[in-house]
Amino acid sequence: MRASESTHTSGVRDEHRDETRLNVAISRVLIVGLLAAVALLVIGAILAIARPGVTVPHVTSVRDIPSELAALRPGGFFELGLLVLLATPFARVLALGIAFARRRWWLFAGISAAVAALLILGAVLGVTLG
Amino acid sequence: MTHVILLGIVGLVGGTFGSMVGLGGGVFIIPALTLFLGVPIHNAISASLIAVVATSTTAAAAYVREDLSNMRLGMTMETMTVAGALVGGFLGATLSKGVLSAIFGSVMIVVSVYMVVAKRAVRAPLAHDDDLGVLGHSYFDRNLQTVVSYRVHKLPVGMGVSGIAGAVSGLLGVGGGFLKVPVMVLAMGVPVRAAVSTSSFMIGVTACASSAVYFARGLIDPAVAVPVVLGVTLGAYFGSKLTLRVRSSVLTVVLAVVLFALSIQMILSAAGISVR
Repeated sequence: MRASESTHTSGVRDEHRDETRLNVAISRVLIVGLLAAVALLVIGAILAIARPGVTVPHVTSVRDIPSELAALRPGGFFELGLLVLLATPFARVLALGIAFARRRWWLFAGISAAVAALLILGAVLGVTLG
Repeated sequence: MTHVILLGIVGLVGGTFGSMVGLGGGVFIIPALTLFLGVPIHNAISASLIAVVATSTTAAAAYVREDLSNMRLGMTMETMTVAGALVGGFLGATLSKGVLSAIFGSVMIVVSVYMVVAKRAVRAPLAHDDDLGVLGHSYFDRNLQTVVSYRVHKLPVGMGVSGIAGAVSGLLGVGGGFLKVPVMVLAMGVPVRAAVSTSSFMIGVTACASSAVYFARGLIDPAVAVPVVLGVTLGAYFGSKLTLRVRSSVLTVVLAVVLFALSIQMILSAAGISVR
């Protein structure tokens, strides 16, 4: 009885240790996405200060991002930075789903996939149905 | 230039307090931008949604590393929140925001008063490490210098409220943490510190869905959003560090005061009295 209790407790500890590693991995995804977004926004801000004659657009346009970046206009960096920031939570959901699947926690892998699918559905419906 | 600095300061304050109480900061940012800086309401809402994503990402990175966020619980509740956000977004065209503001403002007044009066209910019953269930979790509380373990109770209640929080988020442009944190603390037996960090983990995903639509439609003004986001990111970093050093009871009172102020704001807005 004591041996089975000990095995169970050890299993719980292993699971918690595994979860701590998962937490660190997810935290890295968040930090990388955030730092990339902030870096792009700061570059845009520096360009805006350095080139006061260049105006910052008051609307976002995904199509204009490449040309704005090529011309080193602050607007392109602002828009790409905001886009990277918005993509970070989605990347977090995907990373969490993959991590759950690799640990064979199928219930939570399925839940993460459902959340990702709902996010995609929402964005598509929002854009198409307006 | 002064205007840009003021936008950054609004973001800094919103991010600090928002991350400390598990909200995205939208409840501070939208009134401040429209009331004091003359930003149009639609631009304020879209900037607020992006700010919620920034607050959530910054705070969650710290909380997740500290093992405070219950990611299994957060992701489970998020299914209902995102579904609710979709419904909320489409219901927005038919339901009056004033009616919703009045209903939720009233509910939040009751919740905020209850949180202060019934502090005993806020103290979650502790559990043993081998008795946490599928959604239970344990973390090291720096303030108490002990490991806190808890089981999750009344999941259906939490899922229902998460759906409502998502709908409100889709309608009003906020993260919905002001409903998720109380239900986790009061109904589900989650300690307030874990509830705040789990909410921070969740609200970014919710706001991501709405703000992506704003972005695709070109409704985000970078001249407003960028200074706010940079301020919010810095504020959320400070807030997440401060939270780890503040006692849970203090955090509960701060949360109750924030909820009370927000509920008054929502009821006044519903009555046609503009406080923004």
